[in-house]
Amino acid sequence: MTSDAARPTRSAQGSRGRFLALWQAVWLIAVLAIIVAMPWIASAFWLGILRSCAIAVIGALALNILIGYTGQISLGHGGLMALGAFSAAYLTNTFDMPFVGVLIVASALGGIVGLIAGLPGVRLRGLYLAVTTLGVHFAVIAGATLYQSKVAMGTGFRIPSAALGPWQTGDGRVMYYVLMLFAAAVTVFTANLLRSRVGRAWIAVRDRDLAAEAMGVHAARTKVEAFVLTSALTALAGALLAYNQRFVSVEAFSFSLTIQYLAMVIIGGMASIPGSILGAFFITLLPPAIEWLVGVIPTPDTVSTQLFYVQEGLFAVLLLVFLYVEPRGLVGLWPRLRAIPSRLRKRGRLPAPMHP
Amino acid sequence: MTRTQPGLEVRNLGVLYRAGGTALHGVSLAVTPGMITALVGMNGAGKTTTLRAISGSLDARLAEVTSGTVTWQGESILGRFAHTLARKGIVLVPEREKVFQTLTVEENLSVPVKAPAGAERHTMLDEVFKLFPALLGRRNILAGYLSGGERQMLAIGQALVMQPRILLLDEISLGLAPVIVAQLLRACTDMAKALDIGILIVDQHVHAVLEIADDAYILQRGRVVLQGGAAEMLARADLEAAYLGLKSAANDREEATEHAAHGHAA
Amino acid sequence: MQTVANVVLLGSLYLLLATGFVLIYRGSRVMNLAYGDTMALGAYVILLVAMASHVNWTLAVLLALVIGVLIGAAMYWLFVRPVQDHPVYVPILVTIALGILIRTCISLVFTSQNRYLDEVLQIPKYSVSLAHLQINFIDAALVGTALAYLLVVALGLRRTSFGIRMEAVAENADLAALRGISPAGVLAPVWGIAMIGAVLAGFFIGVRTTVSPDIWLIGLKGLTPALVGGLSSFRGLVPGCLLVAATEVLTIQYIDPVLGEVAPFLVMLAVLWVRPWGLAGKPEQIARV
Repeated sequence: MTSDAARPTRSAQGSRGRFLALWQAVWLIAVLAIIVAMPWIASAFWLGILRSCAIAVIGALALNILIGYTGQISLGHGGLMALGAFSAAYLTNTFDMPFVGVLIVASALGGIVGLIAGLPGVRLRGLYLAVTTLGVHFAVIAGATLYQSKVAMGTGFRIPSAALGPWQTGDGRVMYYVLMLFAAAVTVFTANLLRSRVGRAWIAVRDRDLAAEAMGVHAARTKVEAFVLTSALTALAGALLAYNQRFVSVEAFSFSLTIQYLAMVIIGGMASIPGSILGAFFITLLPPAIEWLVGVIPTPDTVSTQLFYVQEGLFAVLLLVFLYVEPRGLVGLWPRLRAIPSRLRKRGRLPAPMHP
Repeated sequence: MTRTQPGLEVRNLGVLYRAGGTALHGVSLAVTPGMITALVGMNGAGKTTTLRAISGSLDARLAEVTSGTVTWQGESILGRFAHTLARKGIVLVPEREKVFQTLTVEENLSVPVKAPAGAERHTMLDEVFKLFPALLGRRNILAGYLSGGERQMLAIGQALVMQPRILLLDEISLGLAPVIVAQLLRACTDMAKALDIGILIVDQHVHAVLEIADDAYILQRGRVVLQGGAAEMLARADLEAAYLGLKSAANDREEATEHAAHGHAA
Repeated sequence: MQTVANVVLLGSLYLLLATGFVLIYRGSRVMNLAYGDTMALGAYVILLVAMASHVNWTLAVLLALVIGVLIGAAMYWLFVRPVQDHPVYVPILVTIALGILIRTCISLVFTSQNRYLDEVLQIPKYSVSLAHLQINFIDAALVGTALAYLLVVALGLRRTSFGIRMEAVAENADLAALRGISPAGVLAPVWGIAMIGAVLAGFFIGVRTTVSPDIWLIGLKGLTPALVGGLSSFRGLVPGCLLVAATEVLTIQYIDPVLGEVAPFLVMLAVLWVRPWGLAGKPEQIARV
């Protein structure tokens, strides 16, 4: 498996006690500088896109914990984000809860739902978690639809701007920094998690042919742990989404959202933190790119009217391509390309197998 | 070894593990229809790997054939699908999971591709039950409920339904009482002669298997270290030593045979 | 009385879908989540044939069935076979992606407009009076077809040599190969036969309600009885379908339509929570973590 620990990432892990090569430090500082300076460089439109990317990073990292490190799959990602978003809507509109409080409660709710949904699925084969989470997705969406139609007359909920010290979440620039900070924090958290004892146990469960069967009960517990964490983080992302969009409506949380996050993790590269980040940016930037492309290149009318389906179709194609050709995602593509010259030289030796 | 007709020939077979390491190195052997060939060696010597490589059922995720040839009647069979080879008459009875446990005895015998239909099916079943009478009373029992010996008999019977020309038997004596083992081995001898089948039998019971075999090969850590007529091999004083891989003090004959084996294999 | 009829009809629809789904799972241990989209595709093919050539509706259905079988076999052979040994989530993701592709193609060609198959096909509208109920020709056909499909598949599995070979492949594909059976050669037709259920379901949905690219969701709901009944068992399907259908119909009528729409998933969650191996399954069948 890719040795994320040895790979230079954009997180702060490189600066914790390991000696950084000069070029890595320069690169890191440059990137950080750009990130910090963005609100003053970019237009409001692009800043909004970057904010969405940050949220996607959190969601993708959450899903990656589950798929990449414990080898399970969740088809309920969209529902969990909806849970977070609607919790935020409910808490701000009903109780006028402050920002931090909302985030904590939303995450906790996500974790609880993860616990409830994950427990039965845990004793069963991996497929069962997939269908269980699928059921959870539709159940949450239905609940949210009911809530929305009864309380908000079917249109959706406004999320008022929350106070954060002297700043307001409604301010685009403030929200940008908030989201980037959260994204960075989750990245660091995930990276450290995987180095810890807990994380290593999870990886052992994923590589089940080796030791997990002997681990028996522990395997079940680690799967639940992972799923609870994933759910909590996803709900957090959903709540942040609510504050970012300042509007919550159930239409935004269809199964398509689940597909997008699956695409982020698979295409970016499973079990790879840089992969999830890369995938998050890639998938978030793709729909606006397609929309722009369709506007510029002449296409049949149906394409623009069915743009939603076209975008989804593109995600599907990319998913398939990466599932068959490069299971290690974009992140795995780079070393493969670099290795071509030496591979050509070493013909006749046994090539390494691709284990997703 | 005289060959009356071309049979199964393995020449210089090399198999590597994907995880690293050599499974087989320069293994050569021959199996002739009508004769019984024994392939013996300790656990992990590579006996099962050899059988799997011959029958086309090597797990591609774990190992790969990297050199050598395997031919049947002169035609190369390396790299073919397992089901193609089975239809050609190269039939393996694997060491584990040798029958379909969720099917009955009769269904197990009817499932192979060459199993006849209609009236001929009854004839086929009768013949198998004549060979293994113990199965007759269990014909409608799920194979999962059979005893070890019965399961082994069913596995061999099922393999016979495929009308094999070369029968590969992997550890058929595992976990069975000596009486049953003797019974099975006797059945093998009868089969080989009566049906003109070449049997390659892998087993840890060296003596029992050498007694019924015509030729024998000893495999040690992926290499053939000793080969020859089974009767001569049984008579060797240093058989245990060769089998276990221990070097005894003054043993020129063993070393000479080893050199000859390597020379042949190279 | 009408409620009972609704339950039976909806249950029959789900039975068509669940039977095919269980067949695929039993044979190849893959959950084909593109099943709902194949159902939609079947409906649209019938629509296309009918609009293009004004043939008799039975011929249109037959043609769609043939195409469905071919698509099922192709789906297995081209897409699932290469990844069957991969970790368990890969085939699922592959089928999900394939389903999306089908949906995209459908929406590009036909747009999201609702279509009404019964108008296009001009199905005869016979009906019969029975116990205060008007029984439609089509409704009776739905129930009959669903039961017939289940019987043919379940019995065929144990009575025909092809069926027994499929069971052998399903239990141990390697041993099957060693006995001359090509696993892919068995599973491709199995996937094809499974698609018959999807196409038939698409036909009945299109005729009794509408055809739109979103009907794949109904297909997805049709998978829940399979899980409720016990994924590899056919015996649990009839009770499972009736249970799910009854819950859905009653919830829509007496509690809330929105909640009723997802009732199948709620039933599935409840059953998985209490009895993960389904109503008719056995605990050993879900072995291993």
